[in-house]
Amino acid sequence: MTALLSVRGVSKRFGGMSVLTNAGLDVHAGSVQALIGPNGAGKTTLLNIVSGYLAGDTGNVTFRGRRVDGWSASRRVAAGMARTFQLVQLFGRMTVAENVVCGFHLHERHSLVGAMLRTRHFLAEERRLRRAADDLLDRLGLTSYAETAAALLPFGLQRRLEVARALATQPALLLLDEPCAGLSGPEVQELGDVLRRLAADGMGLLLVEHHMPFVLGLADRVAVLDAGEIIAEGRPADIRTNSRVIEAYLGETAHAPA
Amino acid sequence: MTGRRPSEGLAILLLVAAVPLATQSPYHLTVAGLALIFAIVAQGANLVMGVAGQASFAHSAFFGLGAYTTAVLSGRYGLSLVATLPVSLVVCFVVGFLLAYPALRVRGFYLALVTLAVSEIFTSVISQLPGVLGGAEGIVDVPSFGLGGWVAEGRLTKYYVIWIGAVVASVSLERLLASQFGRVARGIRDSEVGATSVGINLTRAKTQVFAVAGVYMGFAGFLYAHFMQYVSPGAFGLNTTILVVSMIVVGGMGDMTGALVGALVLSLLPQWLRDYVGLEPVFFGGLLVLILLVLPEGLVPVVRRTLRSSLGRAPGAPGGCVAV
Repeated sequence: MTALLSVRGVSKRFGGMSVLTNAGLDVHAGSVQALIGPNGAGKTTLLNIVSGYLAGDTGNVTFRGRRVDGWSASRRVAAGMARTFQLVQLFGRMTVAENVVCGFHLHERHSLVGAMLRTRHFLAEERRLRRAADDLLDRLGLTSYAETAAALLPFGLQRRLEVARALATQPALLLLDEPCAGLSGPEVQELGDVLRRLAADGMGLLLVEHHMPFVLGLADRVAVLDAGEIIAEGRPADIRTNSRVIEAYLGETAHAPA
Repeated sequence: MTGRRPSEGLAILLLVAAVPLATQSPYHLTVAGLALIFAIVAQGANLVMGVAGQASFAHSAFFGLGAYTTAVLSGRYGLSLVATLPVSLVVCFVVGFLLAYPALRVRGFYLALVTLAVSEIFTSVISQLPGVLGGAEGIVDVPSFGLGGWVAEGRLTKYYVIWIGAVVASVSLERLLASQFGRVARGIRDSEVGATSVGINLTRAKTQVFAVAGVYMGFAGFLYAHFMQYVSPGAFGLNTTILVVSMIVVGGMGDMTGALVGALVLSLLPQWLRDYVGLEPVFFGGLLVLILLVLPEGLVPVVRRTLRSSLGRAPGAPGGCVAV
């Protein structure tokens, strides 16, 4: 099976510092690929290169069979690649529901004149988007916050809202940058359920995360990045016992992660 | 979200429609008409600055461009509003589109400087070029609104033409902001990174915002030229931009009802100060400082929140969240 996303030979230097060296990984449709590693290993840099927020010095990114190097971030979204951010990038002064409706941006088809005249087409589309947004809010447990300003949400809910907004773009591939940070135990579990269902429905997920029980419970494959290099890749069970990974990241007891 | 709630702007404009019941003196109607024209400028400027968060200071130039286009076509070439209206709007749309390009490269103070420079270039051009633009004297023989055989004679008729223009501008802008256009504008203000992550093309979004705002400010200029029947460079200088920005700040940055209310307040209040010539700037400056210190959000968001909580509506929804 050809991969949904395939990253090959990506290197990146910031000034004199090498952040990524010949990094590569694959994400398959309907599966969760995790990317773990210590702080500063280059995980977010790799995610930024995949999603078009940063250009790699070498290497290439192939998505759905097309080379997307050089594509702008918004063009990659249009091609079916969505992401969330380590530092949430919500529309703070808009309501929770509006944030998600905004996520449907690429699927809106009304004109400025249609909006001014409130044509039947415009009103029907607004209603349809609002219903779709309500569905997503419901899936992520945000329904009761629909009319709250996004900036006023507790941090954990802001992260979930970002996932809802990313899903509104109707992606084939979802990149998640530390979605569990700041989430409580039950919230982590709920998020895991949501993501598992997305993968079961055929979406590919690339997950950067420090929460090891979450990663090992959810991921189909795990790649380990250390000092800019992929030092291991495999099934969670193999990664857990890999001596290089334990040394670089997991520590002595793999079951009690950082 | 589809805007089923009643329009605040329309409600305020209906009140303003009753001004002629209180006074029909040509002077008062001129002041009230200008207040409505400035309400349109302030709303257009608020789209760029408050809603989309772009530090543009070229408002007076768009206003003046619309006014001068109309004045030249109508006063110099005798064309009717069938020509002056669309041409003024298209010219301002195109210039807005072009002015968005600096906004793609620079932001904040730098964008403010670039737009100020454009604004100054505009003032220099209209004041230094005699001939068709009239130089420092401007253009003094602009006809009133006319369509077919009909001409708006008298201040009262002209006032209501302006009023209709203000209603069209205010309602259409309110509707635009409740649509994808408004969400994109607020999106690029709140987070450009977030905006690109939902597929918003920043180039397209910014050019669209600048061009549409240009159309509204140009529309106000069109109304101004036919209403005042003269245009001169002094009306479209830096002072005007500062006045418009003050209107937005007083009413509530990012709030369209706020821009409307701010324009009305700052246009009408000075009328009570007419006996104290020279004190106006003191009053203006004082009011601005007071608002910034006491109500930094502006008048309208605070009043709206107070009204809502006293009416017991929207419990638990912290106000000021939906700055439309």
